[in-house]
Amino acid sequence: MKNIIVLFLVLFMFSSCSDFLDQNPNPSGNKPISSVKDLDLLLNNPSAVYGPFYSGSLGMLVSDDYGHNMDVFDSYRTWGAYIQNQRISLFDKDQMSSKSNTWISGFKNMYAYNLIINTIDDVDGDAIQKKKLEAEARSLRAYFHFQVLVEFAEWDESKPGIGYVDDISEQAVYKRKTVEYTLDRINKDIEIAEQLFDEVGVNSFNVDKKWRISLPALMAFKARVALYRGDYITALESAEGALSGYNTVDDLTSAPLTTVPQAGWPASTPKSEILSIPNMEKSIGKIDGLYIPSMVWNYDVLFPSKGLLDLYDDSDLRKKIYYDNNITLLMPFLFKPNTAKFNDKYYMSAYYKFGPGFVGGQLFTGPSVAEMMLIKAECLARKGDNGGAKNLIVSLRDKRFADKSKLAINNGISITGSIENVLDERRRELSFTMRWYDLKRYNALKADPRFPDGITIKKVMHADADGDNPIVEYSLAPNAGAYALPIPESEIFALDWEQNSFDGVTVTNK
Amino acid sequence: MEKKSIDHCRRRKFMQCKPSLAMRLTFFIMIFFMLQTSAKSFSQNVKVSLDVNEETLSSVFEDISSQTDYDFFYSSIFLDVNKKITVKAENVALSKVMQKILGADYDVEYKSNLVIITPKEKQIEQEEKLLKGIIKDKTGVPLPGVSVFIKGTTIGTSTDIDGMYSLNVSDAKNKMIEFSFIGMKTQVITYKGQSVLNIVLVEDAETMDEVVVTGFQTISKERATGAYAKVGEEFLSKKPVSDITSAISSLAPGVANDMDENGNINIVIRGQGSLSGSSNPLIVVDGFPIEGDLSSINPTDIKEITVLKDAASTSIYGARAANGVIVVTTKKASSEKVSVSYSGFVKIADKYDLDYSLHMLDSKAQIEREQALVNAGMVSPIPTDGKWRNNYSQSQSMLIENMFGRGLSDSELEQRLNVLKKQDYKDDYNKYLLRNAVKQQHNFSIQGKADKNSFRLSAMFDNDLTGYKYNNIDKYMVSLKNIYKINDKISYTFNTSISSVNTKMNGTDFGEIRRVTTPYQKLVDDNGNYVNMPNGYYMPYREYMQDRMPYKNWGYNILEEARNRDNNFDQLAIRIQNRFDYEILKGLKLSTQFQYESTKNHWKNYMSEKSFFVRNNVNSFSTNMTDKGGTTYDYSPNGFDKGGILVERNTTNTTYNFRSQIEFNKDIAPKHNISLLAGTEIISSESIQPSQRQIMGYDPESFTGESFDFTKELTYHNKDQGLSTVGEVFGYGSNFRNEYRRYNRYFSTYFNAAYSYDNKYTASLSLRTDASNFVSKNVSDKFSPFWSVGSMWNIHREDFIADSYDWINRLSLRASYGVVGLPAARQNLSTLTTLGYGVTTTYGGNIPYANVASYGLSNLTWEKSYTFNIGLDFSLFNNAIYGSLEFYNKKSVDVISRKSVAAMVNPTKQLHGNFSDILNRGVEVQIGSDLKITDDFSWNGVLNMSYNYNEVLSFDDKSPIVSTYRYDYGNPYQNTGYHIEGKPIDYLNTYKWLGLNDKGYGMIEVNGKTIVLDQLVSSNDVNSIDNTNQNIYDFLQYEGRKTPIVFSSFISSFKYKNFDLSFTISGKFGHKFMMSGIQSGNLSPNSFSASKTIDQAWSDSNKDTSTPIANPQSSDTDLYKTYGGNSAIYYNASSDLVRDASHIRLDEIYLGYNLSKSLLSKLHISSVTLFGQMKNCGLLWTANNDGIDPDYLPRVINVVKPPKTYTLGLKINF
Repeated sequence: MKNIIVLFLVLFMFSSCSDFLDQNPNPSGNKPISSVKDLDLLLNNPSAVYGPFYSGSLGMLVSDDYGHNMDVFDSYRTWGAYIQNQRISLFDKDQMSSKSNTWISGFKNMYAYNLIINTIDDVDGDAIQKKKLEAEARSLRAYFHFQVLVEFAEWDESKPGIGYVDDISEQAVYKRKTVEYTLDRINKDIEIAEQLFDEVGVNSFNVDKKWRISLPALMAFKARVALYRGDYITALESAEGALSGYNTVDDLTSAPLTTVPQAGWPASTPKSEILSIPNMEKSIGKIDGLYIPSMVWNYDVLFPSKGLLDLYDDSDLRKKIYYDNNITLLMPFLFKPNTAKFNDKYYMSAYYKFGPGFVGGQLFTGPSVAEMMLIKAECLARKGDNGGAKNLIVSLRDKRFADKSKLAINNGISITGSIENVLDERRRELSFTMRWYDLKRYNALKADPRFPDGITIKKVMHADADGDNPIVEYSLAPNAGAYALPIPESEIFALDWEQNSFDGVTVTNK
Repeated sequence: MEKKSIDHCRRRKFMQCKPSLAMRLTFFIMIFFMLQTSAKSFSQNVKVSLDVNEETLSSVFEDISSQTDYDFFYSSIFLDVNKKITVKAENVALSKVMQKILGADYDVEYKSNLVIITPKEKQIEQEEKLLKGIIKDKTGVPLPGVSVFIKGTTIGTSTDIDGMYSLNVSDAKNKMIEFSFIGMKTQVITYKGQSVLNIVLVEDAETMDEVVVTGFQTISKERATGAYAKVGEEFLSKKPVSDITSAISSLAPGVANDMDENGNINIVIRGQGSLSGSSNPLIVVDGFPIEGDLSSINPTDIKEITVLKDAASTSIYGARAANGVIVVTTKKASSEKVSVSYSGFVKIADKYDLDYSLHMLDSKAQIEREQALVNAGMVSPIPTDGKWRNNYSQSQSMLIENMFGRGLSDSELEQRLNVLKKQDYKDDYNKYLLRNAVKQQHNFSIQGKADKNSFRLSAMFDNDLTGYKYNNIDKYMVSLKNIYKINDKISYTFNTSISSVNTKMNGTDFGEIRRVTTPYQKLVDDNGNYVNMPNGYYMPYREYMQDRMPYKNWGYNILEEARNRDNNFDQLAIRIQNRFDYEILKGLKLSTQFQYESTKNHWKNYMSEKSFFVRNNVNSFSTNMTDKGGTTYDYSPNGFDKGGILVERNTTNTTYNFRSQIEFNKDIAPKHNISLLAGTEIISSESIQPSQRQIMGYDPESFTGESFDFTKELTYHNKDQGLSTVGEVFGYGSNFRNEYRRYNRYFSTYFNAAYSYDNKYTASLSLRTDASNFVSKNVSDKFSPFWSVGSMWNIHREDFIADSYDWINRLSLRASYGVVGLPAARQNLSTLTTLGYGVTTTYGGNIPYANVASYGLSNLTWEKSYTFNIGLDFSLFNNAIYGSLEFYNKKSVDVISRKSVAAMVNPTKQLHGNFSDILNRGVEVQIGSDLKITDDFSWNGVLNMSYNYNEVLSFDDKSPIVSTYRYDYGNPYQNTGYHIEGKPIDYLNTYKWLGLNDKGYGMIEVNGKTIVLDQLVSSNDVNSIDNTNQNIYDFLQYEGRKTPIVFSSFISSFKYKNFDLSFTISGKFGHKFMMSGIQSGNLSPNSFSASKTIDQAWSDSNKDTSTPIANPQSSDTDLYKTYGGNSAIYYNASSDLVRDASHIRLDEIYLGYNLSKSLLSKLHISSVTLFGQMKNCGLLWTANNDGIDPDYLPRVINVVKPPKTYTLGLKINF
């Protein structure tokens, strides 16, 4: 009898054990996906869009916006991070392929986007919300693929691309295929997302939650892709679409500084200050004119080239706010202050300090209202509508100059709305972040009338990091293989891909 | 198991003597032998008078005893003492009376006060064959009165007073001879025609000891097929320690203690078989797996510990047994009378040897080195963020202040540095921060047993005044074990323990000392003021700013901190175990068990406003009023107050364990024994950690203050109001988090069967299925089956051994094979992709979001280890030598590890899944010896030796190139997570060191090329060292393992009369360690002292060295580059610093003294033991010549090397 009771007991346990074992071991930290709300929260983390937070981006360092000053170099050369940037900017392939952050950041959130796109049909929830989520995920998937493509593939669409990440299984295999393939997949995602946004019908731009992609943001990105391919008609349409949804440009004349002077300390340093907590909420969330608030966090100092600095008018607020020429502010103990060489202000070379978002060390890479105005202006100029182009340039410069007499004149030269005017304004407004993208399309499309044969990047520097070595000139030919930067070696290794050729760099003695 | 009261029954049945004189047989025999020479022919003078009529022989003997003080000694087998006799005698010699009573059939001997009666030997015919022999007990004492019979006949005899017997065995060939003695285990031996047969009988109680407690059942050692190591009370009683973790490894072969860098001791059984999970074994107390560790058990309550090592022994624990199982059995009442005992000790420790553990330059050398670095221009670019956050030492700050002309003149600098050079940190540290640790522990227990009930109640108090002043620990433990026999069939066991730990942690610790100590550090200056120490912001900055701050003292001092905080940690742990046993039929038992465990931890830290913690936080978050027209900083705009801060935190862990099982154990037919066990088990545990409570401006008198969420509120205040503060993130912000809950659940069913034939052959089988609540699509995924098979052969029971090799007392061969596992859920992995939730405030408001918490792996499964074990147990020459030999082969498969994949496949660049296999193979030897050298002097020794071979069989990650490796796994020589196929888990890799060139620069070999570490920054060769696309294996040199390959211990005990002296020696062999290297040649923040290794560095006057140049000489530009480029990191990872870590240490010496029983019996005390112990006695031998104890690597291990301790203690049993 007792045995039977025990038997019953055992059987009872079996029947109830599935409930018993259904308790999630870590309910707040490890929850399976069940509803559309879960997927929605995956897109709700602002930093997932804002900050892959990688340290610099290869294109910024390699482009001709990054300059060199041998004296600064001599004093900095014991500083590892600086040296690595220097070497990358001088086309050192090994240094680039070891810096994998820029690639990884591009794919950082891809899993989440694919998780949404691939499981949206299986979860509970409202159909409209599902469509909106899928549209957002597809927009972001396309956007980050494009970021990576610009750095790691040549412009030529028949050349090797970067594949397209669309799988969440651990066995996923990716091939490079061609640039055309990647671009087609990007455009396909844009197309589907656009259609889904249309079906959902809520297309206004939410300034307070701009990390949630909306139709105007998608249009801004679409304009960027179209411009890159030389499709000026689509670019114009899309830029206008973006601007009709959101068109606020920051006014630098009223921009707050993030630095507050510090009373007295340290007494002997000329301009010293303690930085306050960066006002992230205000600067990112409200002030800047970004559609997609992605950025790079640049821990290291970027050195603007002479060519770039010379483009700015002296009364241009961008020159004052984006750049700072007080090197001792950051490096007070680097040099012995009594060394005559460094007391001369000439050697305190200019360096890049603030990105176009007024936040120390951060550069925004996402499409902005200013960029859309300039895309629109370029398309108009290329159509011959120089007046329209000029109006756009002037209205942008209105937010960049306190001295309103300089709106249609830069360094003494009148702005007429020519293609060249637009391209120069583009470089001033979008320095570093869009220069690599621009160089590639200018060269491939022969789009800058001043350089029918393309632009050759030239940098003069020591032969290597040792200051005692001879001075040489590094140059990168237009449309060279080196416009596809080396993919991180670990990725090449894991994916079993062929590395980019990186040809077209020459070194000549000076 | 219960010890039978053997003296009791022996006295009644075997001896007839005055009850008041009854004493232990052994004791009696001892006295008997001591006195026997002087006890001759007394009987001639002893006269008795008798007048009895039809009385029993026994009452006659009693009568004689009362007249003469003689006791009678005989075997009731030969003498019927109930026979009634009639005798009359008046003052007749005893011998004559005896003759009259007994007649001619008996021999009577008179020795000491004994009358020994034995049957008269019969006339032996010539053709009769005689078997002779001597029968002794385990300690070598001959046993008189042992029955020796030819089995199944009435032919027999008994041993005489010397334990000798002789038996007519003419027709006994191939028959069994049985040796029996009450209280001793009966032995049966097949007679093969030999003429001498000596036997050692063991006490029955000891036979009962020869069992193995698995936690589920108790198996006779003769039938236990698994690999077990047992640590009995006799060893544990000599370990006066607060917890027994450290004691086990020296006592059980195959068990190693492994200390991690934070000083936590991990028990590792038979090598590491998992890469990511914990290696800690499952702890089982009285049959229940517990959540706590061994320290949650009162060590004096422990009767014995059994370590289960192979699959046959552990598979019954299934999913939680992959790391082995430690089964603890607690004491229960052992005797019928109520007895009380006390034990206690006081332990005093030497002061900590900070010099050894800090291993730093002295004050003069340190400062001179810093001066040289400054002179050579070796000052790093510091506050790059302009926030003056960098932490420089006192001397470094002075040099910097002088260099940048901020008001410290050259002569003043010189004079101040000279003062520092003469100071020694130890003066103040020994005086104010350290002390001789004193620990005392007191245990009381009371126990008793009656027909229906037995109980044992114990209480412990432990007070530990640690080696750091202001840190004290009090521990209280009470436990009660009660066994009720409800009736003949049902019993109920109730076992509970409650412990409370109260810890005050206001003082410093080694981690803090290591962080802040310079060789010249003083704590209190000549005027009695606290000396400012480095912490957080640059010291001169704090000194400069403090005048404008709410708290005018912004200094940091570890002594001041210790005196101005009240940090408490309290723990309350309760464990309740209930067990019903119901014996349905003979051999069939049903039991139901239930355990409840609860542990509550409470941290309550109060920092008064004199503490740096409070002053620093208030000052850091005060607002600069300069831009608002003021010149000072104010704390009010940020919404907080001055005053103390209280931080409180709780955790609660609760576990339920429910188990029902049926047990069947029966001799089915002669020689066939079957034992079966089946049951189910449910375990559910929950841990909760509510969010932390913080109160500002807390008043410890009235318990009031203002609740304040630092992270949230501070961020908002700053953001909304654009306030300028020095601080950015609240110092302790990372501790604040939301409520946290974890659930672990298991459901298991198990079955165990064993069949035994004639006690010679045993086969066992164990099956178990476990299910755990890990997240998966289907419930069926959650189940995993585990099993084992085992067999045993008692060779010594075979005729061919028993007959021919009588010196073999035991020889058994065991073999087992099976699988146990670990659930993947323990590592938060799942077959489904899961999300984690959070709220961010960084961008304003509270934004809820989700992140991917784990990337689902479709074919995720449990980690499993397959173990083959073969073991041999032996006991020879009457136990003079005994021991065991084990060989195991443990293959862990489906081991969870990470695998590099492309960022395109997984953004973390890794997958975590069942990608690896690991092999652990080893041999364990235990040899013991019990020798009685003289009656007073005995020796026993146990040597344990374990050899472990460890190899990663597969690590499913493509061999990485160096640049990838550095990115994914950190420095290539620190094997943090990357494993190499064919190499052990804990490998040590280095750069191959080629020595120094003639300028004192180091050289390493990379890819067959020599690289001089002189111009690291500029040389193309060297610059690419860490960016090379070389395969990691070709690039670095394999040096060996970091944990011992051979682990051994030797325990030796001498007993002389009442003294007991023992010592424990342990050795670790075959592994490697790295010396601390040299610092890079910069003045670097947070690095206040250089390693002593720099003393050996190359210089013009010291060219005979392998340590590269370290102290800069002015105007050496190459040197500038060398140290600017941190070539030190290559030296620090080079083969030059590798040393053999083998060593032998004297762990402890124990001396005990047992007070004489005769003295104690008058005081009604049954035993008193006084003992002294010395522990951590130091190294006896090391392979390295650098004065390094490889178990406590200076500048690596984050705890100070344990000092010598001296313990004095007392044990009393009433």
